[in-house]
Amino acid sequence: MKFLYIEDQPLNTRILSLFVEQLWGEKLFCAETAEDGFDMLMEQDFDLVYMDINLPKMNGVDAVKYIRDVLKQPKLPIVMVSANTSENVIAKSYENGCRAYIKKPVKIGNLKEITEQVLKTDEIIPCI
Amino acid sequence: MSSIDLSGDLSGSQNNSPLFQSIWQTVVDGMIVIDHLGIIQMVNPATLRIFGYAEEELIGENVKILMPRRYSSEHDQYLSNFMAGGPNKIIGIGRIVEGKTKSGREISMYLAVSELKVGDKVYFTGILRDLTEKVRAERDIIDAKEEAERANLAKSHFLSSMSHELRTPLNTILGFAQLLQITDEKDIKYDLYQEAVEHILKSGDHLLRLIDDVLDLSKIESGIVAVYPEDIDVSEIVEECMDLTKFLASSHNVKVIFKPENIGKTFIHADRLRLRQCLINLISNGIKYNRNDGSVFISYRKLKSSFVRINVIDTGHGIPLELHDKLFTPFDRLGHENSIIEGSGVGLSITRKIIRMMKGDIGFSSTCEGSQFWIDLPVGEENEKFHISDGELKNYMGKRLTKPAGHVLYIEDNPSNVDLLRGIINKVYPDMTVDSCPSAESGLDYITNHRCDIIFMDINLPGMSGIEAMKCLEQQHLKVPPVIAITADLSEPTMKKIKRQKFSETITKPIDLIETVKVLERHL
Repeated sequence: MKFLYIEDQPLNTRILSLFVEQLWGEKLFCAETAEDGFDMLMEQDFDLVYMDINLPKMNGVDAVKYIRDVLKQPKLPIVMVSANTSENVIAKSYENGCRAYIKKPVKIGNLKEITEQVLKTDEIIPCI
Repeated sequence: MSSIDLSGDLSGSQNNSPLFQSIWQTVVDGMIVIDHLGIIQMVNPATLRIFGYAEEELIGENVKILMPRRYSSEHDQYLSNFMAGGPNKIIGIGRIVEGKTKSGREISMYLAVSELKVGDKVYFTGILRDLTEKVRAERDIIDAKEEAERANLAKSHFLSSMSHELRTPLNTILGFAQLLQITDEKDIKYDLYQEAVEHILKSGDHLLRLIDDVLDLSKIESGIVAVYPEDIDVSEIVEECMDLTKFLASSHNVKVIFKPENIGKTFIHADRLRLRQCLINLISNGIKYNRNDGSVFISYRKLKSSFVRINVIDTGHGIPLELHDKLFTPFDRLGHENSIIEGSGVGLSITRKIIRMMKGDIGFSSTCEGSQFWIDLPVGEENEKFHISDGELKNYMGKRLTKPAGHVLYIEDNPSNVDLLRGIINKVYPDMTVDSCPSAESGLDYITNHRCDIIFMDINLPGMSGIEAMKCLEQQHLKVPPVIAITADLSEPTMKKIKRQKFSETITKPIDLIETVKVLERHL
């Protein structure tokens, strides 16, 4: 299993890395900008992408669309992880093709459940 | 007064009946009759009132005289088009149009025009009602509605930003706490444990600061916070703030350099605590958003207007032009939201509000080589109270001073007020001694162990208030020296509370030399 986390804040990367290691014993791959993330997606195969929204250059919502439309990866599961709780932003993320939306603070149980669900099925998991 | 005659001329007397006359004279709305060329034939008194003309000034004139220029130029064309069977925009219909009074003022009015044929001649009758007030009232309502909508939008934006700002540190706290929870006690590595605790504490502090700042902002916005301006030595307050930001500066490896003016002292009129808060905000921003090994320069000068400008200049990377508008918006951290630089994003909004409350202003300029923030505040007067001579004092007091010896206790948390009272007493009463305690609790201790001849008690103290301290004093001591209440809060509830206690007297801040001397003369 190979996960990519696109997030510029080192502390958030650190926490999610520890979560992923604890839950599945996997190493979390990280990119600090959407653009770096795209490079990694073109070079390697990932099973899932966790996506921050407030990124330095291209934001996470636009990055989802880019992955779908430009990188032509319609099936790659993308899970948003953001402190942004605005309904517009959440709706736009789903519209652009994310599969789930996790609001910060991240609960480890929630992360586990959503990640496993997204990997198992093609369903879109609504944000609660 | 002319009136219509069936021959087609309006000058006849056919309808010059008393009934017609009295209707024409008393009707509330303006009535005006023009011919097919637009020449005014008849006007009633209401029309004259609306436009401010006399009847003879209008009869025989083109009706364009009553229109703003931008409409009047089209009127002839419109009228002749209509006469030739062209389109009708107003006849038989009513609508709101602009008119022009004799003095040139534009008014909004409702105009309904009807066409009438008298013999072979065509006339138009206009009925008009001045709507200026109504239109203005409607515009005011619309403005108020739009203002309320803007405020509502700003509030929603504020709340969603606030939610984001709270969730970010909470993610760290809950994240590490969950890791500690799910890791077996014996498996947990000491490094992870220490890392987790450190981040939890740091984020907790950040949250606390955020809440304090938001509460402060909301208090200022709702007008609960009052400012108590006094005359402050600029160098002194700048040095005080540099001292308070010393640690931050050294941890960021930034030098803070202050260039005081060489000639004499400069005073500004501002609230000391609030000005300190503002200066610390600017200085710590200068430090935090600086380059490694950068500098913050502080300087001040008197402006030609009666203001003093304090500059805080940093050598950071500057603020991008497109973000300048958002600088004073709460929570807009201008792209630093997720950065390691700590800040709530509320500091500058608070600072600007406080500076404006103190009748000053704040502004900035920024290039890629750094930013310069300035605060303008009203110039203050040098404290002249200390330069009074014995002769002048005698004149004020109406008698020579007794100059007794004795011991004064001043319970006050603000050091500059202590300095002021001590300065006054040392100047006027060289044989008296002054001690101070920074809280009511320490003051009560002091009174139990020392003899005092008079006590000055600040009312607004940290912890126990001056009023509660007075109650304790009442209960503890049989013989209490005179206690003078000192307060900056002149609100009715506070003054009532003070009156209920056995204070010998109340004096109000700012502390005044003559008043203080009078009090001492009365009680010693």
